[in-house]
Amino acid sequence: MLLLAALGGDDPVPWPGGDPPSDAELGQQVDDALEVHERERFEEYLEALEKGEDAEHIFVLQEDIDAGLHDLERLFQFGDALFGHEFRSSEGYGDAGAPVPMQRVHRGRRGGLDSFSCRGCHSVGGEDGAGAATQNAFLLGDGDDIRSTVVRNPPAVIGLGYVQALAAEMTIELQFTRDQAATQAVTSGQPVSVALSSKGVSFGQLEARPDGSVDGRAIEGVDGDLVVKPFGWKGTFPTLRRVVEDAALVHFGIQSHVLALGHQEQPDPERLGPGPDWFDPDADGRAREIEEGLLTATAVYLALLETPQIIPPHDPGLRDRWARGSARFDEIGCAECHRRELTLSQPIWAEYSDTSEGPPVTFNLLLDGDMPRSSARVQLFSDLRRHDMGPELADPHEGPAGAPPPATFLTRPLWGLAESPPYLHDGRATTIVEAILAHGGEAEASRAAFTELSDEARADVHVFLLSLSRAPRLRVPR
Amino acid sequence: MSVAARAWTCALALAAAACGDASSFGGSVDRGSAQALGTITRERPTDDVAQARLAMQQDAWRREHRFLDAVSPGHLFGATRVLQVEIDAGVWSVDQLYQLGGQLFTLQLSRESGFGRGDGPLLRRIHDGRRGGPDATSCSSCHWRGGLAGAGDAADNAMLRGDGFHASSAVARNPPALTGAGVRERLALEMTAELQSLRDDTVAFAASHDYAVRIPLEAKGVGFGAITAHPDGTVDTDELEGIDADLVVRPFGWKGTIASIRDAAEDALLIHHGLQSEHLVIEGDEARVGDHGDDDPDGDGVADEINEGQVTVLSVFLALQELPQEQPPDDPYLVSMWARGRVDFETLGCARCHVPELPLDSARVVLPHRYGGPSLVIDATREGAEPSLAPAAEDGTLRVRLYSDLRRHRMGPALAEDRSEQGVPADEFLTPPLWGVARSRPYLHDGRAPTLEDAILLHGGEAQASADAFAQLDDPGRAPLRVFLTSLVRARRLVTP
Repeated sequence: MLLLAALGGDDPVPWPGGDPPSDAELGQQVDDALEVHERERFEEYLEALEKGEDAEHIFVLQEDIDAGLHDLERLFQFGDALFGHEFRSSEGYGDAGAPVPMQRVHRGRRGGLDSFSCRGCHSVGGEDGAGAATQNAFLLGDGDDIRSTVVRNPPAVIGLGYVQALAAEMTIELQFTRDQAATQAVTSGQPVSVALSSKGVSFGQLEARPDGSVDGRAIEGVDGDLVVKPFGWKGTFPTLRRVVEDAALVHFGIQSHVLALGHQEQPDPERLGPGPDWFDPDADGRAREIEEGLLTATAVYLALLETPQIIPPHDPGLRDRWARGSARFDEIGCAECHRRELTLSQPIWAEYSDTSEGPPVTFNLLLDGDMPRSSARVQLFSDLRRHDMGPELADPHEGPAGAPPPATFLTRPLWGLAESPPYLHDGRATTIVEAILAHGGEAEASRAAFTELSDEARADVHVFLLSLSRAPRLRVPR
Repeated sequence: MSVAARAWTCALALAAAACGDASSFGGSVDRGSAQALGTITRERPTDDVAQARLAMQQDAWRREHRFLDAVSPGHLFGATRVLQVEIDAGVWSVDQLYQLGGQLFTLQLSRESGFGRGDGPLLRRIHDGRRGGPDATSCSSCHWRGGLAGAGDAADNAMLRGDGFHASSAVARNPPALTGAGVRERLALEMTAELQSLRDDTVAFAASHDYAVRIPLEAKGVGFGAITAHPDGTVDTDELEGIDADLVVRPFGWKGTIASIRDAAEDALLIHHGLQSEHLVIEGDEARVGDHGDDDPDGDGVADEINEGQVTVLSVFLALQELPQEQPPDDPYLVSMWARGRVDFETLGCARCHVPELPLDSARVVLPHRYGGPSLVIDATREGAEPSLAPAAEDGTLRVRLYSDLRRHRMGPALAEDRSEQGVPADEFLTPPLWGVARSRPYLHDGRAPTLEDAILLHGGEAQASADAFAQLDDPGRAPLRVFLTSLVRARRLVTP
């Protein structure tokens, strides 16, 4: 109660970190926010003046990127423009005969129509944020009955460059281990069993046979190809590029040219549509709905976004509890999967084209990203592998062929947690404590340990988790 | 006073330790757990850096109180839990009431505070009849676009009155911006008074002169058809247009079916969050609140989920929402286009329903007390969130640039739904105010129009001629109107997050 009384209305502001932002710092943030606002305001008028103006802001050819015509800043702007772009049917939104308005209950792998823009479902906790419960996607359904779907809450999309880069390094390490074992098995003529591990995270083991084949039955938390796929609630997308492509497809019916090219090679009408022409699978009369260059630009944009931050409380008493909660987080086993940090060895990003031989777009995550940035010790609170979460959290339906089992989910990175309610894959938890209590399966022991804590110790953990946040950042709402 | 109402007042007074005595209104009342936390403000400093500092300061309080809520579970909800007797006794300033309402509006709701219902899933995206969802864990999660209490995305559409499962069984409703709600309600009240007084005069005239009188109805220059009063005192309402037979202008809801902010707020708490107000529980309509008994009709183990005081502060918060602004472009060429567009808005006929300006007699926003206590009266010009209503011109009239006639119109088959709603035909909708329209994408009742131009072209019915006239223009010809509509925004404000 004393604590509460001390925080009454006229008391000093509890600035995070102790001090108010300096005038210079604030002035810079104001300038940045207003610059973005003024630019957007002007572009809004330009679009009013000439319809289709804003479509030009998302038209970027891979050939031009290959030719080095766009610098990093320009690519970032293309990606930013896509994130806010409102797609219309004249641009390929939806497909021929798709009911307008929204199709919130998806039709199988074809998806639905959820919003007109990315921003429409990432509005919680700031720009490029998480999704509200209403913004949940209802995937893989029958088009009408919501019980036929699997439910997914939109995650925040900041800090993802580090996530992809870490996963890629883990993939290389795991595959190297496998290849070495295979070579050894072939040369020695003996089966070779190796433990799979990367960055201190175990992925089970595999056995290489003398004939060069691999027994992967004991691999854990990753697909048999040992590609660590850090995106999607079930860990099914390896790169931001593929995430953007799939999101545009299932949420807007916008089909990237790369998808169409793949469809030409290997038709996938169930996902892309039954159109007679490979270049317009959804038969809405629009081909090349988005160019490959936009996938590149948007992947670059996402990789460059700010990183979540740990922002402890102001009050000294609360800070003590935060520190105790942090220790308790490890003690009860949360950190075994929600690994506090993974170390990045190679911060150079290389965004390769899918279809051209052009040079990749490269930059240094640790130098070029938006502020605030992470260091090479990336505090994302995830091991980037999949775990069985028990029957309570399991999806009500099997996914498509090859998808992880219903109860299997990627360890959700907890950075930025406090700014991303509601929680869990379907947004079922309105509070962090509810989310913890819903854990089962491999997390059952930790859940039980949490429930056995005193009220005070549980609150400490809660305080700690609420510090996983985002830096306050000024903006003008749009 | 009904028995239920008396019981209620007594219960409240008990909480204030002064039962059964009229002096409990205005006597000395202690504050309960409610607390203005400094996370919400009506102010909008004109200086950018001051505005930024204020935003950062609010954010600091938001974070610190969130930590406190972890340490003392229920702290944040408790801070909104103001008793109606406290409000009646005047222990809270308007500014504090606004803050308390804003805290409730932005609160992450949880089961402990009564979120959800005991007889359904925690989240129910497609509503189950009048019981609703719940579908959202805070008000602000669906009212965010353009700023606090703004509009919702198409993804945020509510799917109302369905069977709980099938998208096809529900009607989709895009969350509207809540800006200027108090002034909007005040306009409607004045129009209602004008219409009803016309009717009453006509009835009296018909009775005294002993012949039937047919009179066109008009309020603030907006026509509502006509009524015929018969000498026997009956009124023929067949010729009424755009309004219910009771002549109450209902300025809220896409179909114009909700008369007051309080009703809208209370229903939203119920259907979107499963938070049952004291008042609705007392009313006890099982189709709305559930049938699990008088104390906890939704059976979620939480009784007394939302008290009357909380509904009041939420209503105050909404009633005092800032007014949208008109901000023409700076660029000289754009300005000329904007000026043309302003004229086009009239000549194309948009302004016939989207009436740019309505006069307002009084800026006093009144929140009536439902249990015999004093009404809250708030001056929208002095006490509203900034920017608030401009003070009266020299002639004493206030002007509200709402861009609506606050009546309903037939919008044609393309926009019609598959059912009528509370007696309002399937294709009839309230003229949505266009103030702030450029900050409330997407458009129309179900958010089907991603742009203003799409929205215009989808107009039919009574607006068919205007839509046709617009459609006949080539793209450069349409540009001025688009530029003009783009100037209808909200005041620029620096916020975080």
